[in-house]
Amino acid sequence: MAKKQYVMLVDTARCVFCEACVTSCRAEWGTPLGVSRNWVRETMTMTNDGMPRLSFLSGRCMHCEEPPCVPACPTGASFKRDDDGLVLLDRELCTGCEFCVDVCPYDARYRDPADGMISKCTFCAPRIADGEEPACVNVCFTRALTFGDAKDPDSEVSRMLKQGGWKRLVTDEVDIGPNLYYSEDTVFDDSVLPKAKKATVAARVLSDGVNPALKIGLGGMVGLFGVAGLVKLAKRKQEVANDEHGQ
Amino acid sequence: MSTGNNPQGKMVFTRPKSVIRIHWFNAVSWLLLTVSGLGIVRGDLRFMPAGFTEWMQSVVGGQFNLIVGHSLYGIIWATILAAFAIANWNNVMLPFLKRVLTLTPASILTDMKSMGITIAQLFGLLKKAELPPVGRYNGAQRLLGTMILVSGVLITLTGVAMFIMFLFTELMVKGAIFRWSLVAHAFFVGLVWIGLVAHIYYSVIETPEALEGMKSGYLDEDFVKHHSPGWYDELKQEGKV
Amino acid sequence: MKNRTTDKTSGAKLGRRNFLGVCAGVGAGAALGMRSFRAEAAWAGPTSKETWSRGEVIGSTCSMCVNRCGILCRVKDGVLHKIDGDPRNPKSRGGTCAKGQAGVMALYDPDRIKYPMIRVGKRGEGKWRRASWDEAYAYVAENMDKILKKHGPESFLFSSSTDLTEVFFVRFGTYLGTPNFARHATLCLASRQVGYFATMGGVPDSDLAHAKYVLMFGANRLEAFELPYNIDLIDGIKNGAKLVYVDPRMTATAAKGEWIPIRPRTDMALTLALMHVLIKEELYDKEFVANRTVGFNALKAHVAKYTPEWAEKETEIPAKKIVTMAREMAAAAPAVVVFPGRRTSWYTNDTQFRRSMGMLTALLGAFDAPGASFFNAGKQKLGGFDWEIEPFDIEKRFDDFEERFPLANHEDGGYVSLRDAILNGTAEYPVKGWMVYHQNPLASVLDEAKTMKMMEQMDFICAIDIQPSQTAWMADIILPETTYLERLDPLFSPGGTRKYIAIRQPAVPPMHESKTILDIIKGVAAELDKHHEFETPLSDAFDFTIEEYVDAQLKGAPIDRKTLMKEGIWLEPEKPVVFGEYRSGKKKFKTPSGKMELVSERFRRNGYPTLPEYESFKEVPGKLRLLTGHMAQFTHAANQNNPWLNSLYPENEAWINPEVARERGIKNGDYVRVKSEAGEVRIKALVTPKIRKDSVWMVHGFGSNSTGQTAVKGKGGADQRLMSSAADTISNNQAMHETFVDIVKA
Repeated sequence: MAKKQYVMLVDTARCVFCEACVTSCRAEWGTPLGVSRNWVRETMTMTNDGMPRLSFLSGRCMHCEEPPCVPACPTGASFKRDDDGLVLLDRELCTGCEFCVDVCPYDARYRDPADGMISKCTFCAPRIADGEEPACVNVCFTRALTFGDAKDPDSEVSRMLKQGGWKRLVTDEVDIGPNLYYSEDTVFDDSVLPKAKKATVAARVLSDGVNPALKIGLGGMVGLFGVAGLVKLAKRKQEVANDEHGQ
Repeated sequence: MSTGNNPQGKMVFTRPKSVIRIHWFNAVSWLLLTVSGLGIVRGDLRFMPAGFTEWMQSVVGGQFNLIVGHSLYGIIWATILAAFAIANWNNVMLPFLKRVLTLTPASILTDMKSMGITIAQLFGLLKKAELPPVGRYNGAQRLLGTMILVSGVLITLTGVAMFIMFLFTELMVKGAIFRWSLVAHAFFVGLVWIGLVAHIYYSVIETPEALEGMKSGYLDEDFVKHHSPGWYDELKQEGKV
Repeated sequence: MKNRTTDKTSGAKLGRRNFLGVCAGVGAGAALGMRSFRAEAAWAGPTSKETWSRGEVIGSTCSMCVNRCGILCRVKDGVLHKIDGDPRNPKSRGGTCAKGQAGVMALYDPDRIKYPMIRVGKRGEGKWRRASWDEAYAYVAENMDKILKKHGPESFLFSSSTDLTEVFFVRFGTYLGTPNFARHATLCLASRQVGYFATMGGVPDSDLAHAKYVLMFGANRLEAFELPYNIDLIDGIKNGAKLVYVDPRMTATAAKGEWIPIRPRTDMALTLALMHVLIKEELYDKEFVANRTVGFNALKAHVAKYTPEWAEKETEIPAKKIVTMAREMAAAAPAVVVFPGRRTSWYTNDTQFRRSMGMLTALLGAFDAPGASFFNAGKQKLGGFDWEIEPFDIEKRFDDFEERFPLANHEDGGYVSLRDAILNGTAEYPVKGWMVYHQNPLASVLDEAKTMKMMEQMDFICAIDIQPSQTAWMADIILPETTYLERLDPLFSPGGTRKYIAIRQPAVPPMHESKTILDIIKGVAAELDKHHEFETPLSDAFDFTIEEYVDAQLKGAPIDRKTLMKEGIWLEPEKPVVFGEYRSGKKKFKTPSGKMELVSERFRRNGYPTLPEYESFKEVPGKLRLLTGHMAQFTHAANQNNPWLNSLYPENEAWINPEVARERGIKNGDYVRVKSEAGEVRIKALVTPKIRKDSVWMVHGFGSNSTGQTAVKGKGGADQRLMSSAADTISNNQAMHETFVDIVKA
């Protein structure tokens, strides 16, 4: 049981699509151009009277309850931290193989062109370890983002969650327990809803093809020669018996 | 070659000590590398239960040590084998390759047929079937030998590729290369082990004499005559028996 | 190893980096240094990766736009790696926008002007040679002297944009002896200033946090920032305020309220009709109107004809909707904000429209009360520098600006007016030298081709800039200025509900060979003094340091320079805003009558219609009206080339209504050609229902011609290339929404 559960609440009614969160993150973590740990996406729906209704969704790794990126990793570099539920990356172990990148329904992961390792939002783990807010929360002047420990009953996020009015970016098919909440009036459209992702081909070949095939092959061989051994044993017994009989 | 050490006078000198040493080094290495390798792969791609990988990693003080240890040992293993092969190219490797490589479809078919009959005979089947002429190695041995040689090279290459990507992620080698290297690495190791099951069975259960031979370097003349008649003829011609 | 782990070690004592180090030590790897090498190749600013430390913190003031938010510059090992918002700053309250964050890359932009550059090719060709500062000063002085000798000092045009250092540049021009300044106002807000000044003696603040009803006309406050209004507006809406947003385009601001897609250029029809309903239904604040305004009866008669039904035909807003709006506003009054706007350079009738907005505020009595418009408490009085010699009398401006636009702010000049005077040959004397500082007129003044023509006839153009802007690229010499992160600037104390003094000070030493504007002027002045005998030697006029200037500003202030530099800000203790002094008559409006003037005395004196007259018009058939504006990621045309901001929106798009797109066979993402009488651009189409069928919109600032701007050069379409020259008749504010364009698939 995790001692803490960090969550982020995004009040999209407060978001003005300025992308300060995106740029603050880039500055804090030196993210190279061409990739980003977070984003703001615009969603649209048409109201009954034919007028567009918009939402601006500040998003990032959702630090899911069942993150598919963790079991996708062959070395264990991708892990979910027991203490606080953060989905993090052990940079000692990452090979940049991108098994994890392909399985994230939110496209939160990327390979960093500067160091070749997989990177993503950490909820600013190093900052929060020092008691700071994540860089995106800290910079947001309309205070659209609220961050904290949902297991601490006195935290701001607990209070806000208790008040209700939040929903998560999930579908009937894809609900892996994201820990990023959006205000209830947020428009979710197809462009942001999570898509069920299949593991990359090599992963499927290994886990659904090679591994079971090898298990069958090895099992078959062990079985085959086990039986052969038994046959031989039986023969030898018979020979011994025959010899005895013959004597 | 001398047969002077043969106490009974009926033993044939089959391989020098260096070959024996390299065989057992190879065998131990395969065991160590396989066990450590199985300990590395976690998550959905793992072959062993999660408990095994965790145990394996804890034994060596963490995944990082395991990866580096496995990789370094793999490189040492491959280097020693390669060095041995080069140093003994003419007297060991070339003859061995000549005897063992099954490269044409026709010879593969022959060897497969031979292997099938051999296995069937374990169960008392196909007793009358005529085996193709057997040289020093029978069909199954030839196939296994070829497989181990080819797989060994591929396992080494894919392993080195993955280790380089692990060390130098900033080279931005395509992730697909790592991913397919891992698939190939696992596949070929598994393939070899499938062969090794038979190899071990035969040496331990069916022909313990062969196992002895891999310890002493000598085989009983009758054993050779019975199991490898073609080779026996060769040895006879060379005046070694 | 610390650099490479994320809060969890793999259990190994030997990290990957250490492991590699050991390998390198034993000679196992020759190319092991490549990790750091690669990181540098993809350099996108300071990298910190997975470690965090605040570093040394220097409190300062942002300059990525003109709002001057409080910032905390975090410096590590002499590198500015992050800018945080200063939570003490009453304007920005601890946050910044993306631009504020990207200040780091204004400093480290690889495209920055690094040393003085003298043109060697043709103008705009982008061929330069590197010059030393001594050579640059001599070059500028020599060329200025030629013009001084041939045409006299008034032959110089000085262009600059609002910033704390602008005083030095203006002083330079003044002591040189030219009356010809062209500043920011007529590119932006001149019409609002004149309109509101005539109506209520100033442009009011808005208590958006407590308003119950906010009416905004195209003031895209949530994208074109004006802090702290955007914070307050969001808070106000969360507190239950109704935002009604009138604009032909649905902006991020519109998304937070009710979007009224008005037919462009008819905004005044709506304000007049709203006044009509308020008066007809007697919903106006009778007490306020009776006591604090003049001219009600005349207004009543004037707006009688502006019925909602009439306005519906003009604005395409249903008459019912207009009546509802008026009633709802009256019900919410006085907690109503009719937001004055910021960039009001829209139409040729803009001043009268802005005046009508002020009049609507007056009718509602939505003034000097919580949730309404109000005049703020004013600035902290700064000591002020003793300039020793007062500026002497100067010649008349070459375009007769003072006579032609009597109500405009004459110090600011009028861009359209002066350009016309030069090109039409009505200038009273030749204008041959152009000194441009901290401004990019080629991008910011409409009708780029005309600005180019004006430049062609200049003998000498000197640009002082940080980056190779379009204008700088057309100059004869570019002098590199320090960014706001490398210099000490004059202090400022903005008006607001809480008084404070903020400082802009260096976070890091100047990079490359850049110098402050004061040092650059000193250098040029010393050289010019050698050539020319001025009434006051220019060197004497600038015989002070920035530190002395700041000390003088702080004379009598409650804080000294050293302490202010350490603290970063001085704040007066918070006091509640006092409302009611204007309502009660204790304070008078700065109008001739001392009241809000529904009938403007100033306009009467200067021969303008005293009440705003609406004039009907027709669109050009088959064409679309070109609209422009800002988005949150860019200030004017100033930072589209900033690598971090550019990555957010690398290329602008033309917003086209789906129906128009269908008619013309344009699909989303297609490239289109937008053509007007003034020019043509190639631009990507964004097909969206967020714009009316009669309009096309593109964000300003793209399509740069400067090959020095490697990220944005040639990307997107430049709106100023399409806009035909037009200006507001009273303020000379440029009118950027008066152009009709054709759109065809490229």
